[in-house]
Amino acid sequence: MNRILVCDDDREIVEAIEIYLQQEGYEVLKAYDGEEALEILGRKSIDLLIIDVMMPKLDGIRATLKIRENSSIPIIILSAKSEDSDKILGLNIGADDYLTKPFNPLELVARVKSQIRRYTKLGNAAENNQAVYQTGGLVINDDLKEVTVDDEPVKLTPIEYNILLLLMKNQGKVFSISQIYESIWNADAIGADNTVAVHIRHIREKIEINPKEPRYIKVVWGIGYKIDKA
Amino acid sequence: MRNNRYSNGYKIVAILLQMVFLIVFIVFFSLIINLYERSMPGFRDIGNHSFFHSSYYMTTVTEETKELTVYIQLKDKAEKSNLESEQYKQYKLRFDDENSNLFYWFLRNDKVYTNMPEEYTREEAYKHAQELGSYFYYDDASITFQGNIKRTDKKLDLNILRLFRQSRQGGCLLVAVDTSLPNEDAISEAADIFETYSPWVKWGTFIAAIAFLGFIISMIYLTLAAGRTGDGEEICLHRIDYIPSEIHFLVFFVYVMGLTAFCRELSGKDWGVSSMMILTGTVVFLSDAVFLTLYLCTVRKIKAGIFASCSMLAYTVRTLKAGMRKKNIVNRAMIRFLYCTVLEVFFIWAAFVRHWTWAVAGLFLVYMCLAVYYLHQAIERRKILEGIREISDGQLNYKFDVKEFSGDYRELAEEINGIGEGLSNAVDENVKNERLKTELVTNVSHDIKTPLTSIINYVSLIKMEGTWNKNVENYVEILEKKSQRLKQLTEDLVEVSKITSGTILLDMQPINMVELICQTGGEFNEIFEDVGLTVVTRLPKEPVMILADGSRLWRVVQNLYNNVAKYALKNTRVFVELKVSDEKAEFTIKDISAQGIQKTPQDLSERFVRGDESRGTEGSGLGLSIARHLTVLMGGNFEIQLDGDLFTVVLTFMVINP
Repeated sequence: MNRILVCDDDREIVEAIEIYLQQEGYEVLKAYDGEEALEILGRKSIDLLIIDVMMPKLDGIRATLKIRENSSIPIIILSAKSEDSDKILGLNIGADDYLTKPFNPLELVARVKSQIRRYTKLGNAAENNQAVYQTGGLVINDDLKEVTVDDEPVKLTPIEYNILLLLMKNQGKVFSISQIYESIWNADAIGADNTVAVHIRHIREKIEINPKEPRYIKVVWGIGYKIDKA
Repeated sequence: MRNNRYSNGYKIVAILLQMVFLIVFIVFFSLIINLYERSMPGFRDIGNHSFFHSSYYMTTVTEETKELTVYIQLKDKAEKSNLESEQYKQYKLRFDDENSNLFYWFLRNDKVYTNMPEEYTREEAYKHAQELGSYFYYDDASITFQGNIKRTDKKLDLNILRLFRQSRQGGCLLVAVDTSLPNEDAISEAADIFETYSPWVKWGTFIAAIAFLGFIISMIYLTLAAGRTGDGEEICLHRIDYIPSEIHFLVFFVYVMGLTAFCRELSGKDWGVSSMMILTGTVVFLSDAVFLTLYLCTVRKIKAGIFASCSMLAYTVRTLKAGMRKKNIVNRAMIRFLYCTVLEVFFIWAAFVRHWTWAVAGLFLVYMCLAVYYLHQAIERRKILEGIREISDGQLNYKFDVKEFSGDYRELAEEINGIGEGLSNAVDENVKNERLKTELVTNVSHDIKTPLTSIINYVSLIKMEGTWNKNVENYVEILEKKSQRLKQLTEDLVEVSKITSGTILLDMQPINMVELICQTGGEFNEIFEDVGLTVVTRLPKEPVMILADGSRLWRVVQNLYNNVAKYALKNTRVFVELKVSDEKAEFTIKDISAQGIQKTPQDLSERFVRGDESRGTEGSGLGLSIARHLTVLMGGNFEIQLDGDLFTVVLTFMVINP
């Protein structure tokens, strides 16, 4: 049974999260400020930390920095700050995920699951298979024509699979709609069309926890689509 | 430190020395002039010890010879008429009766006049003259003068020539002076005077030169020392220095005039040389005291830089100027005009009625002054205009250098500086206010988000509990929807306030508008299908590149599509079009509104700013406002058109060439 520490100065939020996580079978420890969280982390072994940013005594950002000095447990930051710059800051100092308040509790649970799976599974992936591409929790095995997200198999149509494979093979590269069209259908793109965009959205709905805030397939507006390098 | 070059002791010594030197100089100088005027030994005799070589002697002999020529004529006349006049007797006594040191031998028409022994021939007389030592000889045959006496007066030569007029050839005149001066006559008297005064001339000249030098040196010292006390660089002024310069000059002028009149009165009488010296000394002492006082005053004033300002003229000008400054611009212009008119009228009267030539120059001068004045005004006006243009172009920090302006324009420049400052303060204040507003909105929205999180979480928990009756399920559904709406609203609020306050940072890059529309189409495909809307898209085949921030532009287009999805009449067509014309990319989206729109196009995009009530359906109602502001921020144009129920939004961006 995985043990999760939830830290927020708002007790009701902590309790609600506790209920959701207990339903999924996790053991939940509670802390109401940064110092308390550090103290509990020192005493017990914890598998994942959910921490708020704005807290008395020690805020989430500084707590995260301290924890990262000697621990690599997954950390999910919860914050009312929704700026891109806040998200980037949170991820840069070592958090694994960033969720803005108010959040969908089910999304939080999904993200917790994803983080824990990756954390426990880390290091034992079959690396020697050449036809396997991976980024984060997303793995595509071209030999088996199989796609998994956090070890959960995902069902894709052949076209969706090919598009995802193209993007996974060329991580970091941006493909425009016509480039994708030409390489998947092996035909010239006849004018502009939103077929590719629709397929991409379908893939996102299948592999992302929150399709509106994709972690894997990123839209570069007005230019194309890409998957970032892990 | 007592080693002070400008101490009062030194100054007093210098003043005394200066006075002494000046008095000595003037006294000796006037003495020499006096002697010279009395035909006594002059400057030419300096260094000449012998009377018989002095010009004074020559002058005396010349004068005597002139008398002699008159006597010879009288004698000639007397012998012809046998009538001896009183004048002739006097001359005879003077020259012939062995009372004279002057000897003559005169031959004309074989007749000899002489006071030498009668029997002397021409040769003997000549020899005798040479023996006497000082002589001159005129030979009428060759019209030449010989001898060692220089004649100092042309009149003598004329008199001599006149003696031989209408005479036969062979005449001559010999004049000689017995240098042992055995008799008492004019020449021996002159010799006495020369003996008395010639050393005076020599020493007097020397002393005068020395005194003059001393005077100059002490004046230079006093000039340097004036106003200095030695304690630093400041000029120390006395009370007398604050008296207007004109009064100083007036006092000096009156004093000099009085003194001159006094001297003229004195010079009417004949004073002896020594009493003349005493008198001169006294007068010089008195005038020098006044002169030195005023001179040092002036020097101090010039050093302190108040010479010009501490005068009645400057005071008058200042008073006039101050009076002008108190008046308003119109009155000032009137007064200026009045001055000019009065001057012009005066000069015209002087030039054309009185025919004074200088008045024409005056007229011209006034004209020149006016020309310079208007040119100056024009230049200042242009500078003011340039400054105002700078300010109106948004350079609110622009400041005039007030020193560059004068008079009315200086006032104008000051006022404009004030306006600029006010404007820039107002703008700063405004920017600050906008920032504060944004900050407030952001903070408030953070505070709203925390309880909202609990609401959403617990509503969700209630839903999971389930097994309530239908009504409760319905209520929970509403709660969930409204809490989601609240979430959207807070986020939009923060975004709008950021956009309007300009605290948003844009990442402008070349973007393919066609690609973006396709991507958006993909996102909204199923949403539109769900509400029964068919999208008709018309896009150019070629990429259309514009400069924009991709994610912000997506936000704009997303809001427009959301708007369509929410408010378009179900089961109708939506037209999306992208056209390129005149280097402009024009994106149009048209739909049929489900409900009649009462608001004007402006209101629709200004809702937030107006604080208008939101629409009854979902969404914050801020979408169009956000879209419009973002478009404008990225340099595009945002336009809403309403034609009955046809709702059209047009976005325009400049196309960039790849």
